[in-house]
Amino acid sequence: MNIFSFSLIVYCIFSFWVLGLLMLFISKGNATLKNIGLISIIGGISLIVFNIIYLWIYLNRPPIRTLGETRLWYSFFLSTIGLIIYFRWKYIWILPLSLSFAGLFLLLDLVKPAIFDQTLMPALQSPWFIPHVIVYIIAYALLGITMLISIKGVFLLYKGKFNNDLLMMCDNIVYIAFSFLTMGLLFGALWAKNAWGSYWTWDPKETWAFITWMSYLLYIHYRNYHKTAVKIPLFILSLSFIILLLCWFGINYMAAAQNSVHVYSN
Amino acid sequence: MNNLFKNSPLRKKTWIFPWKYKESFVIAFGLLLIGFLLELFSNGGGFYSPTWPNNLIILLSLVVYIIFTHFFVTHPLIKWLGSIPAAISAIIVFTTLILLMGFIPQNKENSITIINKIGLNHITQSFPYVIISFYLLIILGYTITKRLYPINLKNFAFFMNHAGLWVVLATGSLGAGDIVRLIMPIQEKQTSKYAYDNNNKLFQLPFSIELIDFSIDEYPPNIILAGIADGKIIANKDKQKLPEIIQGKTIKMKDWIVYISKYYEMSYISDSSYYFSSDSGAVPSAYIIATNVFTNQIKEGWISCGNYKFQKNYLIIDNKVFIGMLEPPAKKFSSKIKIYTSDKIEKIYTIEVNKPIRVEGWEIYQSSYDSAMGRWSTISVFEIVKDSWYKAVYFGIVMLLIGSIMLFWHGKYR
Repeated sequence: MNIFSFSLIVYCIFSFWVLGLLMLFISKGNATLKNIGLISIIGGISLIVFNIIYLWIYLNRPPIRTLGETRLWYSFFLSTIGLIIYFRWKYIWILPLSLSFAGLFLLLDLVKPAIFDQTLMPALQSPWFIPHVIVYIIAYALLGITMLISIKGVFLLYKGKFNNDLLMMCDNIVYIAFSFLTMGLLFGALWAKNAWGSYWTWDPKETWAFITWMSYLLYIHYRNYHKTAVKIPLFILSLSFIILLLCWFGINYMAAAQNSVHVYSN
Repeated sequence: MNNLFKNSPLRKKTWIFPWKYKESFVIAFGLLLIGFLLELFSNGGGFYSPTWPNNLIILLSLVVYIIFTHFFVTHPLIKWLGSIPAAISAIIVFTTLILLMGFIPQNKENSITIINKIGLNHITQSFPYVIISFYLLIILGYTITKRLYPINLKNFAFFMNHAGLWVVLATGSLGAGDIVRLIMPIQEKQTSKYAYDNNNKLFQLPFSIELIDFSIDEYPPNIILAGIADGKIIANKDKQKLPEIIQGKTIKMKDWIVYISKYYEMSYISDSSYYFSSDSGAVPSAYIIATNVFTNQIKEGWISCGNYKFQKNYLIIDNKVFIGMLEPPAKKFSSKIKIYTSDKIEKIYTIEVNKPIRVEGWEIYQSSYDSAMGRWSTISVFEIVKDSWYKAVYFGIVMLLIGSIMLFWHGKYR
């Protein structure tokens, strides 16, 4: 993906993360091993940061325009948020899940790199561009984590070991993610008003972003009313993430989205 | 959908208060059905937004009605309107409608006639959309009044999120009918106070615009190596970024080292050579020297991306590939204009994409230009918009932003 070897960086990140996870899992209370593991994971994340900064300087514009570039950010936030959740709630399983998910996106970038050029068309040259995309990527990364938790939830449900703490954790993450989702939506509306005089034109991406927003809204309201229900909230959470994925890259292939201003450039 | 909630612990006979999911969904989807039928009977004619002052009257009546009934009517129906089952039914039915919009191409005749007839190809201007939006506004309204007291931080965040959304939805959709959106094409050195609306109706503005100059700034053009047979760009393995043409630069492209010995941003051709010229219609050109790393074979010549006036020029380097130039991508469109207002004030502005100006309640946007002429276009097209409700919508957006920041800060459990 880069002028110098992006593949080398990805392999380094993978080795750091695999080493880190190994150390964490064999540490069994040994503080030194645990710290080496965590430092190794952070090392991998720093390499992503380095790569983003490098691209930013090299391309002479924020690297948030192509699908490949957004995947890079996604893997960064996914791994970082996974780490934060580990520190906050001490769930060790979140690390292999979020890191393998983040790794998958890096791998995709390696196999299918997007073509880069440094031009930024005039409509994208706006102070709203960076906040709009960044808050969305944070929201997507957080919601990706809730999807992973919901898979874990379904698994535990079948084994009869489900613990309601899991859904409470989802609630907290969904609340934070939902606030980012709302901000992304509003920044986009303010930007659109400034660019062509209307907040909302029901562009296909906007339509799907709105559907995504509504489905997480449904989750929040359903959870408030049915505090002990388990299956339906897990179902809504997974369904919402499928809608999110449709919104994120599914619309690039949809008939209804041929003229969208949001379709990623290749 | 009812199946989804059959495990609800609160099962009882239908239509006996308090109403729960069953009643909520019957009402919500019933309203949707009524909307489709209305649309069918009006032959897919659609619904047009009310205009001033009718939209204000509707808005105020809605607010007064909700507040009045909340405080003075104790019927369980009012309680139901502010309940979560009603809210969930409204969210689901509204999302269903928007989902249809996500799958069916909008504002386009659909090959299936019934889709056009019940308004599914113009959902935002259809009866079902209007009715469901109203249902959503009413339920959201009662949800807000229900949680006005006690005044505390949690209820304040609740208020900001719900009332903010209410203000945005209500003023955004009711105000839409008052938006005037005009197009003004204008030639350089000319002055005009006329613009056209969607139906090509002429409209006189309270001010006139003189276009002093329209210009396009461009990025340097890219140089490409491409196959003669298919015209496809051959990408360099290690470098995915297409190289830019800059005078004096040496570029490695596959088996060739390319030296750009001369680059003109603007030039004219004469006797198959290019010379610098800034006259109208000038085209970018470059003189390149390509050396094959294996055979030391040298090829040199002019390349140009061409424009409406001049042809493209390639350099064929062997029987399979050629070197060419891509048209430079636009960096900035800008129009320098002078505005003459009704009170005889003249002022000069520059309008760019993402940088509109506001004159006497109208916003002027850079919309388009004569794309065939490219940077030499002498025509600029402005979009001129009057949106009298924008302050109300912004107010709602700010409320929602405050609400979402509070949501982020507090989370659900502490």
